[in-house]
Amino acid sequence: MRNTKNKPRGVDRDRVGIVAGFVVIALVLATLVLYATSMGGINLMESLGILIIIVLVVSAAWVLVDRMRNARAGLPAKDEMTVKLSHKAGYYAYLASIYIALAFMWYSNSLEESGGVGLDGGQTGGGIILLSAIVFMGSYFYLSHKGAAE
Amino acid sequence: MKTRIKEFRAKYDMTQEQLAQKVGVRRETIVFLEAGRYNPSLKLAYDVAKVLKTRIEELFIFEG
Repeated sequence: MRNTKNKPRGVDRDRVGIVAGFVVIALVLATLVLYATSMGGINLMESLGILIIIVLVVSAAWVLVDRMRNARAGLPAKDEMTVKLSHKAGYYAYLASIYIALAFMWYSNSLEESGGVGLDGGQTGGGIILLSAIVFMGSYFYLSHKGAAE
Repeated sequence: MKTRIKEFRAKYDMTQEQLAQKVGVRRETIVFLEAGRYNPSLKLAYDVAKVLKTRIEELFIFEG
């Protein structure tokens, strides 16, 4: 049994991870602001991309605040349950990314067939990454409320 | 899976947070364990049983 008077193992590493997470969030937000201000006007697809990034940033901030609360109470920020939940959510995001890629290919082809311009590599890649990240965060939140008893 | 963690915790007048600290997990993990919504690893089950001074088979009741 661990001595409760001492900090649990990995607490300092957890704190470094939390601070690093907040730094990354700040950098993403700064990049987003720079991008939005440098563009003259933002079209619908770009606004959707920005909205997805904001949702991801808010979700990541929520996870970090939750970890910070645990670290402050002298508890580990992550444990075997959160690791298991992350792995499960990652598996769902991986499966989703395959179907999202197929959907993007189908959408791009249908755009070209109707005489329009198909999606380029950057749009397809960015869309797959952002939507997979949304599936990951959604799965993580769902599983962390439902539990991971399988 | 059913557990008797809550019963044993009450016996030793221990809060979920205190148990979490002694075992080295988050409080949410103890909440899920008590509710039978999380299947712990053998190590975690052993650690919880050790802190609550009992045996794993008395703490966790597996159903079919």
